[in-house]
Parts: sequence; C-alpha cells; structure tokens
Amino acid sequence: MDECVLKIEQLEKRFGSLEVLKGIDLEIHKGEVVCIIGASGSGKSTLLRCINLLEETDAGHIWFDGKDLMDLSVDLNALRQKIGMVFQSFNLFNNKNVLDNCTLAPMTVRRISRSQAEETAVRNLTTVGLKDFIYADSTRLSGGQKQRVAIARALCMEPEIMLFDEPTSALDPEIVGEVLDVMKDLAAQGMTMVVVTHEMAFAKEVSDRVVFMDQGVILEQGNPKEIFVNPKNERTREFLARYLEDRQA
Amino acid sequence: MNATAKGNFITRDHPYVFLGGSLIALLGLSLLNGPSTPYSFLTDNVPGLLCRLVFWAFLAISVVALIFKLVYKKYYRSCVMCRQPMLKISRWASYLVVLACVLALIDRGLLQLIYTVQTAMEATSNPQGFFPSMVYMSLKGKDMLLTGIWTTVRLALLGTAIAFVLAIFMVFLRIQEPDKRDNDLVRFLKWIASRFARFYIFIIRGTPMMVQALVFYYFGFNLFKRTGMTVTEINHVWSFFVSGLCTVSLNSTAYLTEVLRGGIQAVDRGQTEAARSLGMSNWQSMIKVVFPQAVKNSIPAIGNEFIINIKDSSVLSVIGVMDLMYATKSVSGIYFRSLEIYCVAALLYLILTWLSSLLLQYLGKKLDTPVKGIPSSN
Ligand SMILES: Nc1ncnc2c1ncn2[C@@H]1O[C@H](COP(=O)(O)OP(=O)(O)OP(=O)(O)O)[C@@H](O)[C@H]1O
Ligand SMILES: [Mg+2]
Repeated sequence: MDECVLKIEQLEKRFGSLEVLKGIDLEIHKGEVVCIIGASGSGKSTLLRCINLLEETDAGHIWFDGKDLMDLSVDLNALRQKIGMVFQSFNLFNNKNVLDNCTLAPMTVRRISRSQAEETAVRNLTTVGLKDFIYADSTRLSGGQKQRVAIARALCMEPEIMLFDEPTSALDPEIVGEVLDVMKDLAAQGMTMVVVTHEMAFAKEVSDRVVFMDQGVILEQGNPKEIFVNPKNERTREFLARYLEDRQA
Repeated sequence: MNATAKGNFITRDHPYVFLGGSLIALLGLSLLNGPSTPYSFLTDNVPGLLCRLVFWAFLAISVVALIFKLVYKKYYRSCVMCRQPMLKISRWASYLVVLACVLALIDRGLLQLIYTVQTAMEATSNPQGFFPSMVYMSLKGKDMLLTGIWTTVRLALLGTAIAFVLAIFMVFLRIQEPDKRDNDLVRFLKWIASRFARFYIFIIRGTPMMVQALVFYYFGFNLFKRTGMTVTEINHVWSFFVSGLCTVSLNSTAYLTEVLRGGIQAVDRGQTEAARSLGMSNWQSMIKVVFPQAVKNSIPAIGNEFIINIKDSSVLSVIGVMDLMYATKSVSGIYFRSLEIYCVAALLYLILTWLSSLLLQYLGKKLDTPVKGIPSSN
C-alpha cells in the first residue's frame, strides 16, 4: 500500500446539541482521489472543514505529516499551508487582483520573493487556462473562472493534499465542465485529492475510491465501480437511486 | 434629452395655462406692490406700469376663460377659448406674464437684497430689521466668524483623522477573542484587550461630549499643575484648542471603533477562511485581506463621523475653544442681538456640512471606480 498522507481516527464534531460527525475513520493515501458523496446535511462539508481545522473538533485524531492536528501545541499554520482547500463559494480575496490572490499567501507565509511567487502564480494560472486574466479584478470574473483561480491559488502553496468542497455546485451547468477538467488534469498529475461532490459522473470516472456518508458516519466506501454498480448498503442504494431519478426527471 | 423635454414644456399647450399664469401674475403684482428701493427700475414709471398692465390683462382673460368654463362645462374643450387663434394668444400672453414676473423678481428680490446689504455695510449701528441686522452683524463680526469657521474645520478634520488612527488600534483590541490554541498568557491578554475596548466605548458613548470636554480639560489642567507649572505655562501647552481636539478625537475614536468593527463583520467569513486555509495566521489574514475591505466598507460612515464632528464640536465652546459657536456667542454679546446671529450660525453650519457631504460623495465615487484591468469575458 502507498504511503498514508492523512489519517482520521474517531473524529467527532458537535454544533451545540447537534451531533454532526459521529466517529469518522478515514485514510487517504498518496496520489489517491477520494470522492465523498452523501445527502445534504450528512456532514460532508463539516468533515472537510475539520480536516484543516476551520472547525475545531470535539474528539478524535487527525494525523497529517506525522503530527496530530488535534494536539493543541502543533503549528497549525505550518500544517495548513500543505493542505489546499477549494470552497463552494470560491472565496477569492475581493481586494486583490487574480495575480495577487495567488501570490499573497506564498509571499506572507512562505516568505518567497515577489518575483518567484509571481513566476509560480503565472505557471499555475496557465495550467488552469487563465494566463490572459492575471491582472483582472477578481470580483469581475465568471464563476468558473473564479473557481479556477481558487484552484491555482491553492496550488501556489504546493500542497500535499487538496480538499474540494462542492467546487462546482455554485456554477451554471454549462461551465461546470471547465472546472472539472482542471480537476481531472490535477488528478492525472498525481495530486492527492478529497472531493465532496454531487457530480456522480466525475466521481465514477476520476476517483480511486468513493466514500458514502450518511448522518455523520461513513456507511460504505470502496472502488467507484463497486459503489455505483453494486452498492452493499441499503441507504447507499436509496441515495443513488434517488439521484438517478433526479437525473432522468 | 433634458433640453428637448424643456423645449417641449415651453412649446406645448397646457390645460392649466390660465390657472398657472394667473398665479404667476398674482405673485408679480404682490411683488410690485411691495416696498421699493432707490435701485428699483419698476416703480410708477412706464416699465412698471407696463408690467402691471400685463398682469392685470392676463388676469382679465383668465376670468373670461373661467366664465366660459362655468357656462359650457363639458363642452368647454370645444368652445372658442380652446381654439386657434385663442390658444396661440393665450400662450404668448403667458410668456409675457412670466417675463414680467422675472423682471419683478429681479427688481424687488435681487436689487432689494443688494440694497439691504449695502445699507447694512454702511450702517453705523445695528439696523432694526431682521435681515439687515443679520447682514450687519455678519459683516462686522466677519473676522471672528471666519476664525471660528477655520477652528471648527480644523477640529473636525484633525479630530476625525486622529480618531481614525486610534480607532484602528482600538478595534484590534476590541475584536480579540481568546482561542483554544493560545497559551494562558495570550488568552488573558486578549481578554483584557477586548474588555478594555468595550469599557472605553461604553464610557464614551454613555456620556455627553460636553461633559467629556470639561472632564478632559480639568483633568489635563490638574495634571500639569501637579508638575509645578504656572497657569500661563499650562494655558500654553494645554490650550483650549488642544484639549478640545483631544476631546473630539477620543470621542470619535469610540464611534469609529464601532464603525470599523461593523465593517470587519460585514466582510464575508469565507475571506478569512480562505486566508487561514492557505496557512496565513489570524493576524496576517486580518491585515492583508479583511481589514482593507473593512475600511472600504466603512468609508461612508467615516465621512458621516466627520460631518457629525463639524456640528458636535460646537459644544466645545463651553471650555472656551474659539470655534464657530464661540465666535457666534461673542458677536451676539457685542451687538446685543441673539436670534439674528444664531440664524447666521445655523446657516454657516449648514453650508459647512452640506459642502462636506458633497465633497465626501465626490471622493466616494472616485474611490469606487473599478480597477482598470483586463475585463472578464462575460
Ligand atoms: N456552523 C454551524 N453551526 C451549526 N450547525 C451547523 C454549522 N455548520 C453546519 N451545521 C449543521 O451540520 C449539519 C451538517 O452540515 P454540512 O454542511 O456538513 O452538510 P453537507 O453534507 O455538507 O450538506 P450539503 O450537501 O448541503 O453541503 C447540518 O445539519 C448543518 O445544519
Ligand atoms: Mg456542504
């Protein structure tokens, strides 16, 4: 088996009295693309946000880079820069243009010189197909362009793993493809990725493993072919059936 | 587009030409019957009589039209008054009425004003009339009022600027929140900082600025006295102006802190989360991402604070700051007339705040111009 990049053990998270994550165990291996699927409210976003501690967790362990993120004495900022995150709502820095969005973190966190940071930024923006937009105002891009900038911005920190939280859910159907293509390229280059998504076709085609979550627990996981063609769990079957119905409707 | 609309208005036939024209004619007549000045050119001479004639003639036609209207009622629209050439005549007549009324306005309005100002300037004692007295006192107290205005403007400008700098500092104290991952000392310091800022805002917002001014002034005065300075020395260092400026600044700091805090809260949480997810510290994401956007959000409210300071600095006259309010009081004391000079003061404050708001609007528009860059594809 490949080297394990991220290991989650018995992760629990509550919002007040609402138990959102009820003991999650998950391992992510190097170069693996893991898609997390599940009904709305099942805790997918919360899991992703707990992985880089945007939400403080209540119990469990998150092993990354040989350290436990739950240990209160770890240098969180140092670990976070190796975990890239792409949000559903893009969250580009509104006060910066495209290039500055990509150079800000490398320059302030990794203390890289401007010229070097810009070189990396331009390279990554070229990869996502936005070479012509490096000086554009980040608030004036289309959704698909914004999301591609967000991916490039995360890549500029040279992360070991990338987390995607429904990266295409806020996009018009006709521009979903441009973002998914970028993600496919990334997967092909061997990036370790955890993707929360409702794009089943993408999950089927690109992922190495599909994780089905329901009400705060992982019910089933495995090879996409197994899960989609022959789900073992009753709820997984229901979810996928409902999903296919929606598709056909 | 506007011009053609205007042209249409003038050349169009209006249903209420008689009613409107009559009102204008009545206004003109009442003006001409009012008091005249040596500058008037519309007296009982030929032009004056002509104007009156125009007004009366138009009123007469209007009365005829009214009678027609009452007689014919529904069929009025098709009677002789509503047909050519009567339409044309009434239109030209209304033009004449307007012209005559404008002349009357110039004569009894503008020239009257000039005459009043001139006599007030030459007057040796405070004239009786309300308006002449206003003019007289404003002119005689011109130097005092101008110095007062200048002091008020300086207080508001400097006060708001200093307060802005202090508020940036204060809001950083205010928004500190103890975090699970801080050590105990840091947590304690953050708690203290936030408490201090809240307490400061509580005190300042809960007391009147006039009281604050007096407290600051005497507090500073006593402090300097302890060091063994003489009163003249203290007045030199801790002058009314300096202590007044301190009051305005410290007072505005509290309000601007809340303004900035609101601006910070208005920034989408996703901005911080994105910055943190890239490994930026809380401080870095605040400085580089959130705060610039918060200040931009707050610009209108900061401008508002400036305008408020123009008005509210008037309470500083109680400690003797020679602002516009103080100057007004002094002028009133010299010439023994209150209402007139306070109306002047109200007018001057109004002009100051109005000009400031125009200026702020202009600046706001300038700052909002989109960054020139390569436009997006959609
Ligand atoms: N900050 C919060 N405070 C309180 N409750 C929250 C918070 N964030 C999420 N929740 C709750 O936690 C549950 C799981 O939310 P989560 O966003 O993880 O679901 P999800 O699986 O991502 O759903 P979706 O597919 O709609 O994005 C929901 O019931 C939600 O209401
Ligand atoms: Mg979600």
